[in-house]
Amino acid sequence: MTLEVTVRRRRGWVDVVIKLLKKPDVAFGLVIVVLFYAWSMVEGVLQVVGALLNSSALGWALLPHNPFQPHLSQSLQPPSILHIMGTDDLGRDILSRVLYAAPYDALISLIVVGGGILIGGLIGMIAGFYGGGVEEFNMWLTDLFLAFPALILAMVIEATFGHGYIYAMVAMIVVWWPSYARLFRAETIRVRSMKYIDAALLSGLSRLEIIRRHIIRPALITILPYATLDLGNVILFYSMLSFLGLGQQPPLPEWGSMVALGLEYFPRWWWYSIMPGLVILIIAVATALVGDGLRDVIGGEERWV
Amino acid sequence: MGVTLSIEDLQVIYKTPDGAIPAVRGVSLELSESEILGVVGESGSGKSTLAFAIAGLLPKNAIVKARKFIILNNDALSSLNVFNKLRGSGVFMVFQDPFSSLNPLLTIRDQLAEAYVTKVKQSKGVKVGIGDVDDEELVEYLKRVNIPDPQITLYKYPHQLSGGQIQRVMIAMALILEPRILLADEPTTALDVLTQIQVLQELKRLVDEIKTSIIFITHDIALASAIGDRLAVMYGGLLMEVGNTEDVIREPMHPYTQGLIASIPSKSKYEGLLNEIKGIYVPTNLNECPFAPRCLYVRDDCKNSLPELRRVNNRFVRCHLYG
Amino acid sequence: MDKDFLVIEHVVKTFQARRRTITDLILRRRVPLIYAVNDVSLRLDKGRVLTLLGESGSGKTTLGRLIVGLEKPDSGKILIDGEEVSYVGSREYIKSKLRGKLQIVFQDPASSLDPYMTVKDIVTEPLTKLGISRRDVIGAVKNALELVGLDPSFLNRRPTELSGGQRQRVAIARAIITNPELIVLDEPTSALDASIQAQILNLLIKLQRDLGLTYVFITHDARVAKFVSDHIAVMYLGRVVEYGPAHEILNKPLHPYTQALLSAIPEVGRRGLPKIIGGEVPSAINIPKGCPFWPRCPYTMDKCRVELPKEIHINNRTIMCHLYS
Repeated sequence: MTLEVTVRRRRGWVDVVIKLLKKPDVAFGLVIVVLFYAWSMVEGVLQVVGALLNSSALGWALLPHNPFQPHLSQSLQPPSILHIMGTDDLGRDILSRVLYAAPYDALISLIVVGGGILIGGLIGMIAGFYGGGVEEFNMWLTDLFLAFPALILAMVIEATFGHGYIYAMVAMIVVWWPSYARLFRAETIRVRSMKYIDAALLSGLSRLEIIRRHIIRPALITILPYATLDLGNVILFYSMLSFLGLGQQPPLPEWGSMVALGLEYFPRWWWYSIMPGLVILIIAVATALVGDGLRDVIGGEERWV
Repeated sequence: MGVTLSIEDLQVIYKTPDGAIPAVRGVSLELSESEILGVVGESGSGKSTLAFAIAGLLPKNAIVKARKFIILNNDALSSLNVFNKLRGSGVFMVFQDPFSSLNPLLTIRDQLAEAYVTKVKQSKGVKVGIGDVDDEELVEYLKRVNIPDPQITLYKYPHQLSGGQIQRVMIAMALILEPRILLADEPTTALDVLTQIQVLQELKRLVDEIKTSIIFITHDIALASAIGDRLAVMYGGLLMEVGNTEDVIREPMHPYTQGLIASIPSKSKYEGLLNEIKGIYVPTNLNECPFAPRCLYVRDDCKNSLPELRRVNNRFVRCHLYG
Repeated sequence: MDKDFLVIEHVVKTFQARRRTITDLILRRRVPLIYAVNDVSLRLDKGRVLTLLGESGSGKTTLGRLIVGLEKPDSGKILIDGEEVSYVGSREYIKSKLRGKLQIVFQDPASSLDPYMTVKDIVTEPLTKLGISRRDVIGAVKNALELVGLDPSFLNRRPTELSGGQRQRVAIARAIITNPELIVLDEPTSALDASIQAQILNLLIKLQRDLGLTYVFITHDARVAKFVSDHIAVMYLGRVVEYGPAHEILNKPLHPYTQALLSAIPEVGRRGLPKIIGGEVPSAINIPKGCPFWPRCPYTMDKCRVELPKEIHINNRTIMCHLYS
């Protein structure tokens, strides 16, 4: 039994961030996540500009070593000051390869989660608000896609249409949207019972207008913690796909495929698999921590519970 | 007449990220057996906090202090940090929202049996299993609170009952537990008028049959006066007026009490608008009368010093108008 | 037309008690219906206040929603100023002449305002589809807030920052900004502290007089009904069991249910609890045959159990009870 002690001051985003930083584990996660995306942005821009200007060296300007240049004499060196994560079988610096691959994971995480929100959100909100046959159809479609094991579905799509980075991205969006459809529908149904929706209907607003004005914002805020956590899930999943050879192809490095390649050399030259694996783990955990922290801070703030 | 509750200068402060919020600023009360005390106040008056403090149900960020805090027949509670679990400690509470009072996953039978088991353990020191409780006895309790079809209702789940029925089940639970003190926090606000009367009748039954003391909290002074033997009017975390119901209603002394009584609709709009108390509750300085911003008779000393709760004639009033 | 400004004629509204299942389809079984409003007819002149008095399950809220078009009647008609009320979900609604003329104020000040919107956005929302210039909109908002006693500093606040009474004022401002002619007020003060109730009731009556509004007021509290009403319609299980001028109903209630309702009001100065009828409001799915009130009526006769009483007119009263036929 809780008492309501109403403190009538509005909470801004700054307050949210401050509250997040107060918890040590969440603060740690937040730092990692911010570093990851910031780095990916910088590195990604360099790679794109480098490609446009036909000077790919731009892509590794900030890296300790050239991630593509083999140095067979340096192959399979353990972690050292020169090669912090060691080298792979072709003598390439693993840290540089990990850093080079980062933007791919960052981008795909954002696009897949963003795409999932867009498609799933649309389907879910329309289902929740229109009800009846529309809702039944939308949810049937959602359940259909949810019923497939994600990995199998992604593999089937790639087998049909081709594999590589873009194909993986599309396949993953197809796998990802149903969860968001469910979440958005649930939130839509909750908001729909509010009397201010009746007031909006009385004012003559169309259903789409009402969705835009009254449902999108609370829905996004509600799914924000889950979406943040999901970023890590996407990266994990994509690593799996790359591990299976369905992601970006060599010589482009990718964390998952590096883990796969390194298995051959495990456990003697353990750093080949473990290092990229650790990176995947840390980023996934970091996003989970932030998502969790967000949920504790945001949950029910502006709502009428 | 035994005294069941005696508190002196009870204070409750909430620690929040936005600072310390005083909810109860120094309340002293005494309650006797079989007495119903109506505590009247609006949102922000601290009336609910007071009840939760007595019940020991405040959240962790609430700091409770008192010069004296004694419950039940003058057995002193040694330290304020030791609050017994609600049931079996002699204090019971009925809440405003009927549907959050009971566990939605358990039948009425199991929840009443739980209370029964607690009572038996507390009074006789005997441990009984919930499954061993005799259903017929539980049905008798439901009959006492006039629940229709008690044998069937016993096995229902809370969501299958109406709000009024749940409140009566809570009172049946109180009959089982025989608390010395029952706190009722706006128990009928969510109910229809006729149901409200039924629930109030059951509360009176508790007083008649078990001599429980009841603290009845409401924002409706008419309701409090219908059921209470004494009235305590609260505002801004402090008691403003305390006295026998007949006296307070016949001759309200504190301007807030007068305002509350006068604002009850009793005539048609054609006879004039209602007397309203202007404004809303706003927190004030600690050395100011909390009601000063809204008081019709406000004077300079009202803003400079907080009046004391003084005995005037047959009651206690906190107002500079009286000395 | 001032006379019979609001006309409700034999309106029936049902809801499905549960969702239709495949079993229903196979067994060709009908889903049980809740008769929320069960053949109600009422009239109200312009500028007057009709109060629907009843407890939960009486159908008063549903009838209020039907009047403004938030629900569509299964049968029967509702006319306002000669124009038939159009359902908000229908295609004709946007063209309806009554759009903007009918408004509603809800009971719960919290869920009636979007917590993510500012007061300004909330109050201007009804104007979005009325094609009003931006400058006029700002003027209208300030005017509406002033009428409900809120100063312009409230424009940028959010509902979570306001007290219950202030939220209701915002809800009222939202209702009057379209210059409505009829407002349904669904228990507008029931969720407020008693000390704030008087403020809001006074405000509503002042607005009614100043703006020439017609009110359908819904409440279960006879004290409030006494203050606001010109006419009272007492409702029970979807029917109007008694109807007449307010002072007559309140001073001399004829129907046993009305008598019970009125005696249950706590009066200041009257110690002790009134003696009232027992029983519960039955669920609206299993409405008893005959008069809906007979299981709880202290004057039940054999006739009451089998035959639904007809509406009888006594002076300016309408009553549905075998005691008076």
